[in-house]
Amino acid sequence: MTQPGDEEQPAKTREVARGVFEVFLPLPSKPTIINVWLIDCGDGWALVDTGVAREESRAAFAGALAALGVAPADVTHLLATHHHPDHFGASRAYRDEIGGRIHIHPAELERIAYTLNAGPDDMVRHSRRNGIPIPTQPTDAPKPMDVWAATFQPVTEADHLLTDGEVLQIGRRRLQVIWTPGHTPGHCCFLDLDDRLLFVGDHLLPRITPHVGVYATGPENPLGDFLASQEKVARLDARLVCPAHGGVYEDHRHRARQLIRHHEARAAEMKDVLRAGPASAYDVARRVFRWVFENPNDRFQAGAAVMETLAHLEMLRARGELRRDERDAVLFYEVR
Amino acid sequence: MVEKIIDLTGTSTTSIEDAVSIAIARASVTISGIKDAVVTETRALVEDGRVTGWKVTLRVTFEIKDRLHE
Repeated sequence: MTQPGDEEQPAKTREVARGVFEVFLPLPSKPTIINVWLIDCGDGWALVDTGVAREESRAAFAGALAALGVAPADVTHLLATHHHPDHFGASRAYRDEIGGRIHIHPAELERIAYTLNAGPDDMVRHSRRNGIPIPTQPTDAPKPMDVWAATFQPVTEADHLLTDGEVLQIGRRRLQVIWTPGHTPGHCCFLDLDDRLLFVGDHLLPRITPHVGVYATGPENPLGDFLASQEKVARLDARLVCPAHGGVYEDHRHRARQLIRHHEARAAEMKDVLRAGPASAYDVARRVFRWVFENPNDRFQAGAAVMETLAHLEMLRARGELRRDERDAVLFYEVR
Repeated sequence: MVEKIIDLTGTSTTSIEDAVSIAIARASVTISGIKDAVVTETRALVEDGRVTGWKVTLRVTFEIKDRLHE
C-alpha cells in the first residue's frame, strides 16, 4: 500500500489532487491528527468534517485557509462524514463564524441530540446487562458529554439531510453520497464522480480499524451494517481514498476486504471462546481483548472493547450461529 | 519464486483444528497467498487438572508478491 507523504515533514495542508487539499488538524488524544478536506468547487469551497471544538484546531484550520488564500466566507458547504467530536465537533462554531450550508445524515443528527441530552443511566443499565461489574447506583458514572467534554459542540440542525446515492452538485463538483452505516448509524462517504476521489471519514482507514460497538440506543447489529458497507464501497469505482486518519492510498477494495476478514477472524475467535460454555459480552471481551483489561484505569477502552465484542456476538446471533438468554438481568451468549 | 516462513501460535477452547483455523484466519487479514502451515507443536492448556484448551505453533509459508511502485 503506498503511503505518499508518510516520510514528509508535518505540513498544515497538502494538495492530493487538483483543487483537493488535505488539512491536518490536531486532536487532544490518539489518533493525534484528523484530516479534514477542503475541496475547490469553482465558485466556493466544500469542507468535509471540521475537527474538534478546540482553539488549537480552529487556529490550525484558520492558518490552513490563509495559507491557501481562501477567505472563510468562500467555504460555502460543510459536509459531515459523521457526528463524532473529531469530525463534526466544531461544526457549530464554523457555521456561526464561516456560514455555509450544513449537510449531514439524519441518523447523525439523532445521535447528536441524544449525546447532548443523555444522562448516565442508559450506559449503566446497558453495561450491567452485558456483564460489566459495576454497582447498581455508581456515583461516578459519566454521561456521554462528560466523556467528550468541550470538544463536542456540534450543530443540532442541518440545511440539508443527506440521503444515500444522491449527488450533491456543488459548483463544478459532483459529490455522490454513499451511506455507510456501521461505525455510526448515519456515517457517509463522499465520492467525487469526476476525479474518482473517495472521502471515507472513518469507514476505511489505512492502518487502524474504526470502533464498531453496540450501545444502549442501538442499532442491534452495527457490525453487520459495517461489513455490508464495506461490500458497498468495494463496488465503487475510486482512484484514491482520502481517509480521516492516515495518508491517502489507492485500492479501496483491498482495504475493504482486509477489514471484512479482520472482523470475521475476530468473530470466529469469540465463537471459539463460547464453545467452552455460555458467557456474557464482558466475559468474552476479557478473553479476546485481554491486553485492554490489563490497565484497570482505562475504563473507556475497556468499555469500548466490551461493546465491540457485543457487536460481533450480535452479528453471529443475527446469522443464527448464537443464542442469547437472560439470567439475573445479564445477557449470556451460547453457540447454537 | 521466493516464499517467506513465519511462526505463529493459535489457541482454541475446543480443538487442535480450531486453533489452527483461528491462527490462519487472523494471519490472512494482512497476509495473502498463504500456501500451507506445518503444526510444529501442540499443547494442551490445563487449569485445575482439566484441559481447558489447545495451543498450536504453526510454521506458515506464503508467497512474496512484490507490488510494483507506479
